[in-house]
Amino acid sequence: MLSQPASDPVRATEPRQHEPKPTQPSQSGSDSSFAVVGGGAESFTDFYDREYEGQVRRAYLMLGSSAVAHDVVADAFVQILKRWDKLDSPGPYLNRCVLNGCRDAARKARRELLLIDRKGESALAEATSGVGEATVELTEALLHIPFKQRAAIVLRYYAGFSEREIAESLGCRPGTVGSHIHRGLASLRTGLAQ
Amino acid sequence: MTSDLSAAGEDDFERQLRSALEAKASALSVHQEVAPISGVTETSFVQHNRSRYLLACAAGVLLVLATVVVVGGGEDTAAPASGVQPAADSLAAGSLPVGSVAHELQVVESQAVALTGPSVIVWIEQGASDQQIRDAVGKLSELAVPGSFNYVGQAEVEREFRDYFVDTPSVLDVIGTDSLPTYFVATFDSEAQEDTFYSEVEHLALDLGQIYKVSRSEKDQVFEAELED
Repeated sequence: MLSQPASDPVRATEPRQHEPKPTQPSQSGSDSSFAVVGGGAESFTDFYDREYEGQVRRAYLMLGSSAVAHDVVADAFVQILKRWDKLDSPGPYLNRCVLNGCRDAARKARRELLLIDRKGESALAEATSGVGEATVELTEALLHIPFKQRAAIVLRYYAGFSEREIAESLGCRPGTVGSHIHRGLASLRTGLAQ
Repeated sequence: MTSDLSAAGEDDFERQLRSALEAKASALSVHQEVAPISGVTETSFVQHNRSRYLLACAAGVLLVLATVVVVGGGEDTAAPASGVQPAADSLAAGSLPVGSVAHELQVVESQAVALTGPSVIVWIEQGASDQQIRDAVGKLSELAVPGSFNYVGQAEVEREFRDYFVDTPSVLDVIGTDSLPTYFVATFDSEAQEDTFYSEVEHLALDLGQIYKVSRSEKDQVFEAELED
């Protein structure tokens, strides 16, 4: 009835500028129940091993929580697995699933932040451990801008996506991507200045 | 440091942003396992994705409404859909009892479901205040084609839902009828006006954090992923 968004089958196999190199399949990945053939000639296990880490890191940048990022990506792979034999190009579909999960998680996080702030704790402590001051400031500010702007910035400046690819992932017009990024950068600067 | 960053030149700012994102992502310890996926049951999957089921509901209801909501451009105006009640004026005046049914807003791009012109649905569920709803829907009322603005109550949504998803009652059982959203439907003269609405809503969302729009492809994806499974 409703068609899946057009996708580029090549895109899902291209390593990104800052993203981790594909990893070797794990022992658990040899579980025959996941050696499902679909998504072209690639097995689900290989696809999972190749995509999982990069997706978690992207989700982490968008959400600031390792635990939530892992959960969101796991949920997305469940969706992919359920439809694996129908997907010719699962990469773009996975991107969309993860972004949808991040968006939902970000909505919940905004409400939870209020409770955490009342306790005098830093809701962003996890997101800012073990990195430099500039990184802390920038990534904290990133978590306070609207989700689509945040996602566009992560996909552009971390994942190295083109505008067309970001548009496909966010489900907006390519021309809107530039606006998201421009406004996102402006919001970041505003947040840093405060 | 903060002032240095905010005052940095464009290229320098983007360079520092790239470095910061890479540094933060690299600091994350990723736990990669396949096994947890096999432990996710259908029930927990549904529970964890309840909002997506609701979105799927929105898509389904919209498919039904598409047959009755007139959408056009230029001088055309949309006639009220059968079974829906015009509500813009009463909402703006504060006489619509939104508090009993509505809370969180979602703006859904209704072009996704075979409508022939620009149109939107404001999807309301738990979360936002009456005033937030009035602010957002007031903007929709201001920009939409006169006469195209309609309120679709929860009972109407449930009826349409049951009619449309006649073969999938289990979905309704899962989400529960109390979870069914309420909608405001409106049509725009042009895509430019629709874009204006989105920009206005996005600005409002900066303050409220309660308004979201869902694009066509997102809705397509949800519709396929949730209902065909």
